[in-house]
Amino acid sequence: MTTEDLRRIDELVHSADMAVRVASQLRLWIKRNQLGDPDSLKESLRFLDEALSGGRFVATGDVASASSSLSPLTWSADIRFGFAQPSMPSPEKKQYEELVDFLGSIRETIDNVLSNTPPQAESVESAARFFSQLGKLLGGKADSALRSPAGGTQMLQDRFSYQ
Amino acid sequence: MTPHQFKRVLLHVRYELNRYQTALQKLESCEFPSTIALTLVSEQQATCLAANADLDQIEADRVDDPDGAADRLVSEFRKMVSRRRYLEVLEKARSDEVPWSLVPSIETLARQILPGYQVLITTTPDMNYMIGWGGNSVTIYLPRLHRANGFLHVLIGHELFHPIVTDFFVAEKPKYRPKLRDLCQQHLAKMGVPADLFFQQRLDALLDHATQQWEKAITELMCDMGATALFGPAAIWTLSGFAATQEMNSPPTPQSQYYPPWRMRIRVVLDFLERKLGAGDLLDQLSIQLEQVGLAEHSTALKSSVSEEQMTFGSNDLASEPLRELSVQVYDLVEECISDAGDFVVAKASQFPKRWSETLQEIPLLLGRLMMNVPPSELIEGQKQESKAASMTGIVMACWLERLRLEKSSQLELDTFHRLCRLMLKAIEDAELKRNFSDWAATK
Repeated sequence: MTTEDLRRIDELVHSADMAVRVASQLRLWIKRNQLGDPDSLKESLRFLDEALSGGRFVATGDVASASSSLSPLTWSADIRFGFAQPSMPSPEKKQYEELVDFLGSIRETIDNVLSNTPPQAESVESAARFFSQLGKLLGGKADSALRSPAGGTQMLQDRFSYQ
Repeated sequence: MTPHQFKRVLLHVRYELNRYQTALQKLESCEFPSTIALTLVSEQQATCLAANADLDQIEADRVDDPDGAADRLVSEFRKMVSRRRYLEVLEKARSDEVPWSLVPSIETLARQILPGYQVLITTTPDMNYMIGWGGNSVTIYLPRLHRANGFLHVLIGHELFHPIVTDFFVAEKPKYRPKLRDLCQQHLAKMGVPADLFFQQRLDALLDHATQQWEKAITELMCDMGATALFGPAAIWTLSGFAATQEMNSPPTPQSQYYPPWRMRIRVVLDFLERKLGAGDLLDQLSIQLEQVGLAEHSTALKSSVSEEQMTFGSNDLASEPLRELSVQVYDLVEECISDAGDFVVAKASQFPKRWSETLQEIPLLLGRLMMNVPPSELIEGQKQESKAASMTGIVMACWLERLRLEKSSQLELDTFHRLCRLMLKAIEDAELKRNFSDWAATK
């Protein structure tokens, strides 16, 4: 009895929009060396902080990170690990720690761009690539959710199978 | 995206935005019972202006980043598609679309338990009650088809608690997340058992699932308890009637949006009514009062209805249901949390001074009016010239007791039910008007 579907759709549409804007801003920054939309980058820092916090909790059980939303982490893990198949083993602690390191390096790059500390072009390209993939992943989910009112429940089905 | 495709999509988005703005302008001239409707129209107009500016920027950035501009353009289109539902919500919030007689009373209730929020009431074709919230506004969705069914509208009490219970998780989530993580890790270690519910082997995804299952169960149970704290047994009779149209033992899966099984929900609120609200003594007192004024049939209906609900929903449902191992363990953690959740709800409901436990003394007087087909909207005591406005919870309880009496004596036909619904809604409207007038007169 809530607008659960609508809230999830809003979250997807909003996060997908943030991701494509950040990817574009980073590419424009490489070309122009100036920032047109710093707000989108600040928003991406909040996203990355949630994902990092979730990653630390999953990897180590760190109680201080236990209250974060897991959505940014699972979306990032979808990109990093790919979608798990029944035959694939579960990622181990080490792989989650590598994911946390990867997200941390993206965060550092964006922080540098925002503070005018020139990062290496390669790291900016890597961050742009991550957000571009994230935009595609979330945009696809949002599109299918927007097409039907029941889409909100279908969104999760790519991660779970039931007997 | 080729340049000509880009231009075509850009024009399409600009056109849709233009139509959206025109529709908003039309809505500005409509009549709404809630003052917040026009504020939301203005907010949407501002969003349209910002979206137009974003489109200009995307067009300008296309030279240096054609792929990024295309992605951003598609995202603008997606946001436009997502935004279209505001039109539906606002159009169905007009005075001729909502049970307007209820609106002021719901707003009063919401002001007390959700201070700082403005409430928009709208209708939906879904046969369900919903709520959405963000910023300082709350939107309540009522089923369009039975907008005059005052009995089911008690479920608004459940909806109003959704924004409140989010505070509970700030403190509780860090306590329960590590336990959920341990459960998921143990479950992953046992993978490969044929009866396993999950094929998924990623800890983050499994933990996300378990967290949603746990959080959704607590949320729904707390909102049910919230409605019960406000409306007492009337909320349970309403929930029970609503649940009877659905599968009682439906397991909490993503397909069911993780809703807890109805049988468990009703069992939990019955327990809450007894243990946290002390309903046993209060209802015994009410029964005695009813008998003293010659309303023995109502007293009998009250006693038998509560015990009937307890018999129907008293069983420990989860053990016998087809829930899989992990879900059963997650629900053990739900049970562990219920008592604290109940205390939180009781504290929040106490912000509403006219909750059911404080208005029981009104019921015998209101039933006297109701049995003469007079809206039970005011309390006339003895030979006094002036009357007092009845409370919404008193009206709802009185109407439910009259309904139960009619049900027990097999007199509740469709036309009788229609009349009872009309008397209830009319009483709620009249009482609110009277209360507002009295408050205004007191300041003069």
